[in-house]
Amino acid sequence: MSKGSSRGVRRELTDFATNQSQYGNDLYTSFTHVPIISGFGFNQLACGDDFTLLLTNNGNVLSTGNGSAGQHCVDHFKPRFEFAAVGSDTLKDGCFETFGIQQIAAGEAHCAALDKNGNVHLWGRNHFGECNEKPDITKVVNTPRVVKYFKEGIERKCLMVACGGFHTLILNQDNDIIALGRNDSGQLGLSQNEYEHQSEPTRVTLFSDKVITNIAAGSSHSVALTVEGYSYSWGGNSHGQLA
Amino acid sequence: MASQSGNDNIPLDIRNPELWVPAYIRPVLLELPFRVKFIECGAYHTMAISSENLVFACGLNASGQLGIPSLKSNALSLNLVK
Repeated sequence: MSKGSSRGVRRELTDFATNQSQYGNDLYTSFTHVPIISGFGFNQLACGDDFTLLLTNNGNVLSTGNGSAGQHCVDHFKPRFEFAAVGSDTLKDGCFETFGIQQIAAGEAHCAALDKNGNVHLWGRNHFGECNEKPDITKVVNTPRVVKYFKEGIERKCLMVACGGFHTLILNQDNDIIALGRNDSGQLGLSQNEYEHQSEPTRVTLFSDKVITNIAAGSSHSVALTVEGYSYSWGGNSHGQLA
Repeated sequence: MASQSGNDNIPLDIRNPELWVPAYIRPVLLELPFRVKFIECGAYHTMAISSENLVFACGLNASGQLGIPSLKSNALSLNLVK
């Protein structure tokens, strides 16, 4: 190992040690019970890089962890060390309380929730338009935005949402995949030589003759599963992740 | 529980590489005292919901991503609650 690299490693360790003393010994090496007194059961979890969303069985969304990209939808960007409702600093009065959320997803620093009416709500980091706002690295979306997608003038309902590193995929009632956000690796799957980021929901036309049943998104790539059991992958292949 | 044999009692000191938690290069069965109905992972953390609707977490909590308030994190989050 060269001198330079060992110095690099040492600095990284010192940074980590500093973090440790600042935040306490906050590593948990075995499963530990998370105290939440919400009075409801839980249906689903979605983990971002350094935050977590939790879906309660009454259709509300709770969050904890880093809030620097507006993940908690409150008027500050401080981290949270215990679960509270998205849109509130307590377990009550969250912004999704009456929406009946069915499914949640978390990207690196942005979030998505699908409500009972088939609307997708997006919030958090919006560097590439992944939250359906004009890309602006100085702004985050800390009021959930509803994505509207129209086909032949009629609004289409959503069935499922997936969040990647900086992009969002939506499966809608036509079994179309709708994509928005970062596209420099082609992770939106639009077409060949189309690498422009999209802040407006854009249909992935490649699957026009296929019935998609499931979608998932990684840091810079995406996958989809068809009803026949075939899976497709597209986007960044830097680590062989497209298989 | 989740870690390999005997590592539960080792004090965590990130400055000493000899004490680092070993990585698993093959899937390891987690012998947990609860049934898991949902499990998900973030960049450095894992969260699970048990069949009894309890939430369990492990991994890094430096940003509060586990939702487990510790003594020091409490001091930081006090001004969060109105």
